[in-house]
Amino acid sequence: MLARQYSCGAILFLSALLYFEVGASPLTAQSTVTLDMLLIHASDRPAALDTRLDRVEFRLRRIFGFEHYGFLQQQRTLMTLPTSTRLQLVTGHVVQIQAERRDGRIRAHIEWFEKRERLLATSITQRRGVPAILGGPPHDEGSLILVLEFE
Amino acid sequence: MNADKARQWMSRAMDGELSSRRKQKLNRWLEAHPEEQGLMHQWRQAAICLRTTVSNSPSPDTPERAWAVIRAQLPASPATPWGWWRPGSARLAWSAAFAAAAFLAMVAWWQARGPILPSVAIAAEDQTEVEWVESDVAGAMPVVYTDADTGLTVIWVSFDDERGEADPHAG
Repeated sequence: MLARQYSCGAILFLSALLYFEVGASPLTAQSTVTLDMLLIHASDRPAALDTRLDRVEFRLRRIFGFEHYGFLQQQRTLMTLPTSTRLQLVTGHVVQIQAERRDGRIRAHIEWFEKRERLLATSITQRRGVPAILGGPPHDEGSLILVLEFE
Repeated sequence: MNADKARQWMSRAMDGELSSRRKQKLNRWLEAHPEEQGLMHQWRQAAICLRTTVSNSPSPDTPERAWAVIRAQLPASPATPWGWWRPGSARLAWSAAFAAAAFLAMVAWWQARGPILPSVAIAAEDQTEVEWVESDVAGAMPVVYTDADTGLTVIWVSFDDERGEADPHAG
């Protein structure tokens, strides 16, 4: 009886795992990917360390020269390629991404808007699991950094 | 034939599974062993009694009739028809709570995951390729930079001072 109880829980757990990992698993359809987005505020204003950036800050410090990096937003989006998605940033900006599969990689056309003004537009081709870093738009006495990664 | 073997044959004879040749042999053996013959008689009586009891119920010659017989014998409101997973069961509640907690943990874990900047250099063939970069902002200067240590590609747009917080920290 107890075994049946645990079996039921285990089945539900594994089902959830399968559902959420569907975009990351190499066994699933190649056209399904998960887009990870991380928005960071970089500035020279003195501030406490943000523990939410523990996994990325040490790298950012070596790439950029800002004194402080603050977590602003993180979002995961499941995408079935080819598709387009619209990320609404907490800063009021909008990032529009059109992505498609090309030669085993992902080609993405990215546009970063402030209101109707296009601050940054680029076209990149990247592998799954390799993040791209976009940035520069000014915000609150600093700059915004956007880390995008397809899984 | 010993007694054990004889009882096996007696059992098979009761079930109608003993061949006629062995049946004759068994009968001859039983004639020589009256105590075993008495046992065989008791078995036959028990079988008759059982058959009489069963025959009071209609013979279910089809699956539907068999199920009708079974259903008729079921109590109207069985006390524990569902076992541990019956509605309202404490175990069901614990199982549901466990499943819900596992599901929420999965959601939290999935949401918490995010990009991790690599600690080792990305191979050149795996690095991000940038086709073009542009900005509609007057005076903005796009820059593409590949970090030598990590192989990460940075796409940066520097804005002039009039726009506000332009910063040449990139690279």
